[in-house]
Amino acid sequence: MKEELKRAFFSRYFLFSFILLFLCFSGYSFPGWFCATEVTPDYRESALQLSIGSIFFGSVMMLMPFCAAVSHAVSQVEELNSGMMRWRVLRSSVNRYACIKMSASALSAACSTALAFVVHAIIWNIIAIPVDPIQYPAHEIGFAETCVFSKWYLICHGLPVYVEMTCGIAFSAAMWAIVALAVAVWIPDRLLTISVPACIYFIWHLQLPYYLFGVRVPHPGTLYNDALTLESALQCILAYAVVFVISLFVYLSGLRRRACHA
Amino acid sequence: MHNSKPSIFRQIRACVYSHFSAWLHSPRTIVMGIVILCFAYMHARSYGYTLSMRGYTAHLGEMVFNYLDSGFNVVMTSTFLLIMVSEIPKRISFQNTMLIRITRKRWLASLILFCFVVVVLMLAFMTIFCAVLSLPYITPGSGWSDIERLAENPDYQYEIPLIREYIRVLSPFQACVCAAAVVFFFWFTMLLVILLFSLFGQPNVGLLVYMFILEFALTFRFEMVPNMRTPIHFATLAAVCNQFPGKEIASLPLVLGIYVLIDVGMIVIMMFRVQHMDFCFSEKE
Repeated sequence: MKEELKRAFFSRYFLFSFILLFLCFSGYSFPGWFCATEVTPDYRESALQLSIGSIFFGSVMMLMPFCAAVSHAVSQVEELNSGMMRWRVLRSSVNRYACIKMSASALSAACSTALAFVVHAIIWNIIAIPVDPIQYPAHEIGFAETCVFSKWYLICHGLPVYVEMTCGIAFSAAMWAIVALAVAVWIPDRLLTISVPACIYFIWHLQLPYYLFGVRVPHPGTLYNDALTLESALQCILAYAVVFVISLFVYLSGLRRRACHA
Repeated sequence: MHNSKPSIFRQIRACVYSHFSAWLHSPRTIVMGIVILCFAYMHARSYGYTLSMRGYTAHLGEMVFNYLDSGFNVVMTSTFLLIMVSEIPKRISFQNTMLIRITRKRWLASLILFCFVVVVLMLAFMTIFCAVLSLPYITPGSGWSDIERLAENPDYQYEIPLIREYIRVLSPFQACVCAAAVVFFFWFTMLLVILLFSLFGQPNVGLLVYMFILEFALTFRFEMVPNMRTPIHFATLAAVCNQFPGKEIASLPLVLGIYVLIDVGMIVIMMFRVQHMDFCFSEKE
């Protein structure tokens, strides 16, 4: 496990995933800040608005599963193509190998994505004014009344919002990393391993189940989106639990098949 | 023994078939094909729902124009197409066998023709598929339904029209051809860029360049930076027209001309390159 974690956290993929997501966050915040220099500081966006704006209006919501899959799940493809997986399974067991691989991929994805958000938020809290709608009316954010953030963003310069979003991003990324592993074991192709989870995410995000069966599934980005309520969070966690169980089954069956017949 | 020399056309056709066969049997093509199918289905249904919610009806021509005008959501569809065609030419040893039988120039011609066929098929497939899915929402007739609504209710001019006003000078068929031409050139240029980088021994660079261009469009807040243009701003008819306010349709030949120049330039570079390069197709990416 220690070796696998070392490989996961000190790899170029981890760095790539972190940088890519950080750039996604910055793609919204930096042009917004530096191209509005003529605006009086009091009327410029707050650190919280700049930190989370790219989630609501930028591409973070779209590229999150991509970054989650890149961070460590692609190593499964390399292990399959090089034959390394077979030797590793021989020295332990399929279940143990799966457990190590899933934990490392989930942890790596969670850390790379959450770290990108945290670093970006820290930078903006240094550059911009931390959110304070009482002193600066321009800092007011129009969250829906039912949204948990509507009260949280007033506490301690929005710290609870930052914490919740970090946890939400980390949790979602971990789930998408496991989906990527399930894809990798059946289709050992690097490009497909990182793109299929993103495609599933888009299809889910665009509500295919609704168009096909009339069933509304909570948005996959609910846990870090601006419409978060306790009810929607629970529904989303339940939906992710279903995704986890399916991915686990697909991954384990794929690994067993590879271990027996590869 | 049959000793007659095979015609150029037959040789190139055989090569295109083989490229196409290798492409069709790749997991990337199959998986992304399914994703594109789902995506087109949702796109068509969502547009149909939007029409129903606004209480409007539309004719088949304008529905099809609407899909082509947006490039079937050009960023997403292009990304899926990019993954589908990420490996041109396929790095399989069959390419070496093919090169024994034909000249390098004909091999390149077959690859360019393959790119052309893929783009045409993709456009045709998406158009037909979306048109079929739109059938429940259309009403019989031709022309622009906006003009009919405007004739019935003059206040309609204050509402958001289905089709922008400057398009209505064209017939739906003409508008569809214009919109399809822009999307065709955007995708064809994308495929040629991938092919160009592959011939220079960097197959992943072309892919990364276009991935960056497409994702940059989603990531960056363009509206905050004045006069900033990227290829995405010229990827669909709607985007092209937005770049030239006041002379929307008149600007189209200029944009298409620039696309043709870029494509011809790339083909010339590839022709020079293919004469001097070393071929190695044993390694699959």
